[in-house]
Amino acid sequence: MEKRRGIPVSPGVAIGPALVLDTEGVRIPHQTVPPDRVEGEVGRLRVALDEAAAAARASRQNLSTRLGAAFGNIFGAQESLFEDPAFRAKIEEQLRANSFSAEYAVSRSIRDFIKRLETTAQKFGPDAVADARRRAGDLYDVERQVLYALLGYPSGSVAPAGGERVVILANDLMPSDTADFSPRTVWAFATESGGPTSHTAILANALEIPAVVGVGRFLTDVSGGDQVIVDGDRGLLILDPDPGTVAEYEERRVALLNRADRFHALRDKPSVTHDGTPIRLLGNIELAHEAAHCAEWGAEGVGLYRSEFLYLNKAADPTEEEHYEAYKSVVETIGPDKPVVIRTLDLGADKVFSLSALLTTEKNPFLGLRSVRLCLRKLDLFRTQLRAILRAAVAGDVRVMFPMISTVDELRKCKTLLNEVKDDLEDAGVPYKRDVRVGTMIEVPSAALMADVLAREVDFFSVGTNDLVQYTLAADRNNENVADLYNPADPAVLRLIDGVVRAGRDRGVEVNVCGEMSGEPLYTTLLVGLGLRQLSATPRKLPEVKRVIRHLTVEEAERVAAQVRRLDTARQATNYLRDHLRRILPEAVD
Amino acid sequence: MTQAGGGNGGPNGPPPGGGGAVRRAVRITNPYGLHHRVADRFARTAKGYAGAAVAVFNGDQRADGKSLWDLLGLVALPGAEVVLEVSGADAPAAADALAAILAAPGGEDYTI
Repeated sequence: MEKRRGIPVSPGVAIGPALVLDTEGVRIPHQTVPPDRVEGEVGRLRVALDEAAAAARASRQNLSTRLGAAFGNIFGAQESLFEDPAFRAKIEEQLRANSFSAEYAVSRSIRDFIKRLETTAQKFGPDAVADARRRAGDLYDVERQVLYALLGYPSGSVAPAGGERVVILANDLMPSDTADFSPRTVWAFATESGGPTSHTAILANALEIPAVVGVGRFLTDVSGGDQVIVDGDRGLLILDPDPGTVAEYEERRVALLNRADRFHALRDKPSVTHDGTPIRLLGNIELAHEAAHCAEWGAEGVGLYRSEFLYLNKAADPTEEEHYEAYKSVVETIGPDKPVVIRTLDLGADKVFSLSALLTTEKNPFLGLRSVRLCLRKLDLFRTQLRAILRAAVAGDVRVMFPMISTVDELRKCKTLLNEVKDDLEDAGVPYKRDVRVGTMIEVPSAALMADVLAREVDFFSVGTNDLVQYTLAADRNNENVADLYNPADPAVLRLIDGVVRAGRDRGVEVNVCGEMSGEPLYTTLLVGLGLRQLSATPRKLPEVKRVIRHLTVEEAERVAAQVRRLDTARQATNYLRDHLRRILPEAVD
Repeated sequence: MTQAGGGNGGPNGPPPGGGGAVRRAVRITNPYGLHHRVADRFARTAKGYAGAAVAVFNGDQRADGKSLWDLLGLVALPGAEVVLEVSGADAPAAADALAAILAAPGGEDYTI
């Protein structure tokens, strides 16, 4: 039995057979062959390497034509490796010495090489290890390409076929991979890389699949079909568990199911503080069908509909009808009287789709052309989405929200465009809602500082703490070397949130918090104390937040917020909040 | 500088005799170290000098400069000082071109 520690990103526990993606998603049929077939295997290997090289060359030429040589060359390195005599010699040597099958020889050679890279890197310290891991990812891809050439290419989705529920293990998952997963086919997943707020992590949460990311290297130590345990509460991946551990986890799994039932019981209780102040709880969703989760977990509407998924996994940009159908289905599920806040396209460097290659040409994509900045450059794309939102608004309380606004000018441009789109719809006689409510995300420090001015332009603010924290502290939330700087309770962040709440209150603009922070019971008291009366989080997180709310009085929350504001460091604030939560609701801590 | 795929094995051995070998110490400044694309560019350029033997050392590790696989195995990280050794035909010119690739600050923010 081996326990590996990672970052818990989606709670729950699961026990099940492993499906190792990337490589063992391709099943290696035989490790060895009879000696008289060795030369035949060498022949197969050579053909496969030629084929893989040709495929990489085709990808290179295709990408070079579409996007320029800089992108095409990404595949140039793969092509060179497939053709590299030293690489080929190494694999053939393994094959001949051990009578390996071509598939196994490829897999073994590459994995031995990765182990050697990592062992060497360890001598040079943690930066070197991180670098080696990044390269290992590239090499797994090389392995996969050769295995595909040997065994045939899989078609379509990576989600497992057949009825067996599995635990997905991979180096990393693309958001579009996880979008295909469902709790009915996947027990859990664990990945070697990835950070706590990566898109994949957010999605795992949305799909309610337990997940652990950033575990570090483990794929070389596990094979498809092995029994594994994923503990999404403690951030553990357990390989080859002993019977005692399996029994213990089976018990916990049942206990968690019961707790889920208890949370469901909270669903119909009102979200009010102990002294009767209502705190509106809304759900964050990524996919239209998750609107059902909102009702299931007691959300009073959708506080953040991340529309990016309409753009993922598509060969072309989504049409106006595709947008409209998705929005309409959310409104129909939620009901006409409850708010549905649709955030316009917010593609960032960490959110992969067909344009992502374009975005990474920038040296500093997080400070580059993304989100609303991209929309304001690609007006057709933007108009299509705005038209669909205005049309869907006829059916209910749809609101539109612009992400990553950093100046009042940008916000005004968005509003101007929105008005133009309304006029177009008017002229064309298409039904739409003219007085749709307009809001802006506050996730860039400049916007937080200018909230009093922005407040004149909008009906509501939504504080996106994930980005606000990372931009305020200049710390990439997915970079393990600086991730310790990333803390929503940092005093600098709290000052900004405080300013936004005050600006909103002065101008009669509703303020909501929709980052991960609002789904963490640890911060609930603080947020209520800072004056927030509306929180939006992953639906499944809401019962626990509601439980804290129902144990609080506003006066007490304000006292906590005042105390936290006097603290100098994020660590002090976190400790203080944890102590306080432990006092009022001991079982909510840990 | 591109070279047809196979068969470059012959002239790729250790530098002949030691006479005329050009050695250069180069510090890797690319923020991702000697990563796949840089290593690939290096190997392709090296192969263009058919009459030269190219080796790169990182500490006591040696790589054939014409093999991407070998170069990746060096694990040459940002800040590492590697030694380039070129011998045979066009050695000085090859050394200049290859040292420039190793020393380039990069700017591509992706690996493969």
